[in-house]
This record gives sequence, structure tokens and C-alpha cells, in this order.
Amino acid sequence: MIKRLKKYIMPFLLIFLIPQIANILICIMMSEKQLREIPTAVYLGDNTSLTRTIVNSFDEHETFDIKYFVEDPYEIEELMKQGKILFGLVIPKDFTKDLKKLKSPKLMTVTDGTQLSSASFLKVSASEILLSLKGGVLIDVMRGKFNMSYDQAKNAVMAIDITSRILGNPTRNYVNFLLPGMILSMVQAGMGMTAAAALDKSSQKNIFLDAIVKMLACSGLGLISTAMILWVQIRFFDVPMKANFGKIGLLCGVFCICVCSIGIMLSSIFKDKMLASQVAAVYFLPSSILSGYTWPLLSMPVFFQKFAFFLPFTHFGELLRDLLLKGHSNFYFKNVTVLFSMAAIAIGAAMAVLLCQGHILRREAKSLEADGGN
Amino acid sequence: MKLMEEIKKFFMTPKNLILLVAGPLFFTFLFGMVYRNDYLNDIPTAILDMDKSANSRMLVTEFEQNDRYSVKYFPSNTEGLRELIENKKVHAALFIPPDFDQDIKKGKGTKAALFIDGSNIAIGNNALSSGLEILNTVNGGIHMNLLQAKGVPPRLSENYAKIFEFESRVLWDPKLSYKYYIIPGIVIMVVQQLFLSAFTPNFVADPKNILEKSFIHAFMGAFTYLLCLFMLENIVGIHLNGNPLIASGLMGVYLLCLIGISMVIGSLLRNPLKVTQFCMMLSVPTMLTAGYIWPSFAVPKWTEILVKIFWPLTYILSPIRDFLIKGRFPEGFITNFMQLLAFGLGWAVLGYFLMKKQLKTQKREESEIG
Repeated sequence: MIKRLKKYIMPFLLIFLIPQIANILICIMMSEKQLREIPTAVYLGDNTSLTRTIVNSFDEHETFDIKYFVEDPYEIEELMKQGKILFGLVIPKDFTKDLKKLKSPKLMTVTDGTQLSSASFLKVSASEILLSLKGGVLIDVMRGKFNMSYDQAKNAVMAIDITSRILGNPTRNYVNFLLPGMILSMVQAGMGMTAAAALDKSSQKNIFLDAIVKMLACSGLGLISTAMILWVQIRFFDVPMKANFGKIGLLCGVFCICVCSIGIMLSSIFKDKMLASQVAAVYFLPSSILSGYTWPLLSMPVFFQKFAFFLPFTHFGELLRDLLLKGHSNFYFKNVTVLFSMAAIAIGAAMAVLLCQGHILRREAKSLEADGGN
Repeated sequence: MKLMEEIKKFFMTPKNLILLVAGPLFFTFLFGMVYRNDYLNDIPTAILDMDKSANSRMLVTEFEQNDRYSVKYFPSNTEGLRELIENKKVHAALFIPPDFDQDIKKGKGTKAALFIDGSNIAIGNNALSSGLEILNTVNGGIHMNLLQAKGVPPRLSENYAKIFEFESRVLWDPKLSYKYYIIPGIVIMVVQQLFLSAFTPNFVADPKNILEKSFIHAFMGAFTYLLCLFMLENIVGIHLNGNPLIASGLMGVYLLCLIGISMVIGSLLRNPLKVTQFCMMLSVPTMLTAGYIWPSFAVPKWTEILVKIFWPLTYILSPIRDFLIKGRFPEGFITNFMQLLAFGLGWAVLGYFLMKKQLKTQKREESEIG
């Protein structure tokens, strides 16, 4: 009994336990969801009420946490090298005086470009703050110099007000963007490797039935693990689920079947279980990157854009994110069909390979018998 | 003598060379090519211009001329615009309402709407920051025209419009590319994974000469890492400010510190296939918990400590990346390094005892069978 149970420990560990633990830990680690309070330094070369307002605007913004006031603008780079700050604001000497003389003084923002996750937030937030401050200063100048009302001055200064609407992930929440797919890519790797090492060709069992049963068993465990991960993310970490449960369930189910079918196909091709498992790992593990889930496909060279079609995750990850965040996708039926077709082709190929191998084995056995007879 | 024996064994096994030499080089090349395009440019964009006036055309031209956007569609109505967004033909869309020009001229102010597909943060942030830059430029131009219409001389109206400017300087990676951000970390993770996939099954299959085995595997891992760094600099085009030799030396120490935990995994699982599968599963969680993708200042302290107890990638991942790109280790690195050594030592002791226990059990089982 214990020996029989032992057989299932590894699939349970790979498909269920490791992804579940990773899911909870990583979700807790990213529970801030957005990057806030990013360490910042300020060089205040000109200490006036205007420049203090600028500094306050940054300090009051949730993205920035002013930790240092430096004496020299070059100290900002030094602090960045030491990893103490990720953003710096340089207000030059005589900023207010130059502004009053209409000399167009220049503020400088310095961002640590090595941390892309924070840098893109910092750049957008700094631009928003500085644009609104600039607008405010200009409105005051217009009102003072040209005797305009507040509305007149505002409309002159900000003639066009662009309302930006970020669809799908309006708060630019990192958990919503990254985690559903990234954690499920682990389940994918677990299913792929388990299925790739599943077939025991030396056993006397019906190998075709064995292949189907193992494919379905891996898919079932994968689906339970997937459902559990999504439930934890939705229930405890506020990942939205805007599409209906059935739609997401069907997608996840077809995806699991597709991945396990490919795993079984690899298992049928390679005699060595270790090699089959390694090939599955090489195929499935990088797919969260190669499928365009984090770095968009449109920015990859054409070869990789075409190659991505052959990865199940390409037809799953982004679609799942769209279903969770937007509630719908026009690619649903297309992607589900592609995943289903991939699964059918893979399981068909596995059967064909097993059939050929069986045929060859029988022929060899016959010729051995014939040799023995002679 | 034992060292020579292990060196011979290592090089006589092609799998070792595939995993520890060819593997990291292949993946460095692969990911280097994936992220070769520096910048997220040419975001497919649609513009619905319901006004078709001089000012609306000026705004359209700004979007057309901006490298970030590739204006591919001009739908004729809002339905068409929505369809393009929903079919993912575009990731950004600009809507210019009717009376856009008239409202500006009447001094009423007007609104345009920029829709951005934010489900991918890389696209969303880049599109939004460029949209803000365009808005600043166009509003400045309109403001200047309005002032000139009021009789303000052109030079003075320009000075008013540019009451103050702001320059955004991004250090070390001005284009804010994924290339500099992600690849140095991915290469370290790849070397770690392939080292584990080579060393741990070898340890399970033959738990003799651990010290010698560790040194040869760690040395080869560090050497391949050095080759990967050369590839990053010369083929992928990442400018490295830090000395690659120092980085690979550190990588060697890191790999040695992984020996203990590899021995624990090997002793508990006792099967090369299981060990390989288990080690492969560690890539995503170790990368995501290492304070690299999500910075450690935004992480609850207790989770950071927990991760540091069980996996050492967090000690070196960001420091090596910072060293390579900025040319200097971050403050507190020495403490991190000492903690890494303590981690290596602690797990090595545990691994050694588990190995001894496992060998004893194995002997007992063999004698029982005998």
C-alpha cells in the first residue's frame, strides 16, 4: 500500500504542492500589488515656497518616499550605485528666480534604469506630477500677467486634456499582471515533466490505455491545482475574476489536457525517462517568457513570434489574464480550439509512436524466435 | 588524485557538458535574442479623429511621428475603435471628439481620450508615459499660438509656454529595456538550475568524493557563466561595467554554497529522475522570490527572512546584476555575502549528515538483501 502511494508522491509534489506553496508565498510577497514608497533623494538647490511645493507633491504621492536630501546633485548617482534609492529629483539653483524671469529653468528627474519594474512606474508618476505642477504655475502666471479668470487660464494652458483610460488593469497592479500566469506556468512544467516520465514501456499493461489514463490523471491533478491557485489568488489577494467560472474552467481544462498530451508524446518518443523529463522542462519552463506573457510578442523578433504559436502557454496565459481582468476575449474559441487541436495531434502522435514501437518490438521478437529455431 | 578522478569522470559524461556548458550558453543566446529589441516601440495604435481640423491633425501627427506608437488604423466610428481594441489589433487608441478645434479656439478647453490596454504592464506604462510627453508638447504649442494671437511676441510666448522644463534621466539603461533588466538575472538562474540538474543526480548516483565533485561542478558552472557574460556583452549587446571575472568568481562561490542544499534534496529523494524534476521546478519560485522582479523593499520582512533560510538566490541575484550594470556592489553586500557563506555552511552540515544516514540505510538494505 505504502509502496503504491509512494508512486504518487512525486506527481503530487510537482503538480500540486510546489506550485501551491510558491503561489501563497509569492502572493504574500507581492501583496503591496503596486510599487509604492519607492526610496527617493532630492537635491534642493533652491529653497523657496515653490520648490518646497514641488518636493511636497512628490512626498505626498504614494509612489515616492523621500529618504534623503543631498548637498550635491552627484550624490544622487552615488546613492543609486549603493542601491539606497531608485529615484532622484534635482531642483537647480535659482530655479524660482529663473522661472520668474521666464528663463525656462530645468528640473531633472533621475531614475535607476536597472529596476524596470519600478522605473516605469516612477517615470509615469513623475511626469504626471510635473505636468500638473507646470500647469498650475502657468495658470498662476497667466492669471497674473493677462488678467484671466482661473478657467480661462486653465483652458489656455491645458487646451487639451487627455483622459487616459487604462483598460483591463487600471491600477497597474503587478499581482494581476504577473501572478496568475506565472504560477500556472509552474503547474504546466510539473504536468509536462510528470507526463513525460509517465509511460512504463517495459510493463505488460495495455500501453495505449495506460497512456490515456496517465494523461487524464495528470490533467485532472493539474486542473485541481490550477483551480486551487486561482481560488487563492481571487479569494485572498483580490485578483478579479470578471469572466464566468465555466469559461475559465473549460480553458484551464483544455490547457491541462494539451500539456499532458504533449508530455505523453515525449514519453512515447524517448526511452529514457530522465531525458524525456528534461526535454519537457526545456520546452515548458521558458514558455512564460517565450509566449509573450510578460514581454509582448510584438516586441520579439519575427522568428520567436512564429515559434510562440507552438507553445500551449501562448494560447492560454494572455487569454486567461484577459478573462480574469477584462471578463471577455474575442480569442476565446480560437485559442481553445488551438489548444484542443494541439492536444489531439500530440496524443495521436503518441499513439502512432507507440504503435510503431510495438510493431518493431514484435518484429524483432519474431526474428529472434526464427533465429532460435534455426 | 581524487580530484583527477572526478575531473575525468565529469568530462567523460557528455550529459555534464550539455547541462553545464552548452545549456547555459544556449539559453543565454535564446533569451538574448528574445529581448534583443531594446525598446517597446511601434505599439499598434488606432486613432478616431471625429474633428479633422488643423489642431486635431497636429495631435494625430504627433502620435504618428512618435516612435512608441505605430498608428495603423483610422476607424470611422467608435464601434470600429472598440472592435480594434477588443480584437487586440491595437494596444492603444486615441479618440478626438467633434468640436475639438472649435473648443480650443473658443478657449473652452477640450478633451481627448487615450485608451491603453493595461493588461500588459510593459505596454501600458510605455504607452502612457509617451502619451503624457505628447500631451505636454501639443499643449505647449497651442498655448504659444494662443499667446501670439493675444499679441505676445513669439519668443516671449515660447518662454511662457516653457515656463519650466523637466528632463528625465534614466541611468544605466536609458531606453528602459528588458534586456538590461531581466537577462543578467535570468542567466544566473539558468546556471543555477543547470548546475543543480547536473550536480544533484551525479551526487545521488555516486555520493563519493563530494568535495572534489563540488569543486569541479562549481568551477565549470562559474567558467560557463563567464562565457555567458562574454556572450551578453559581445552578441546580445549589454554593456557591462563590472568585471566579468569577479562576477564569475562570485558565481562559483554561490554554486559551492548550493552544494549543501543539493545534498539534502538528493538524500531525501534518492532518485536521479525525481531529483532532476524537483530541481527544475525551482526556477520560477526562486526567481520570483529573490527580490529581483519585485524589489525587496516592497516585500514583508518575514517573507524575506523565510526565503533567505531556504534559498540563497536572493543573496546574489540583484547584487551581481547591479555590479555588472553599475560597476559596483550595493551597500550591505558584504553582509549578504557573509550570510550566503553561513547558508552554504549550515546546509552543507545538514546535507552531510543526511547523506551519511542515507548511506547507512542503503548499506543495511543491501546487507539485508545479501
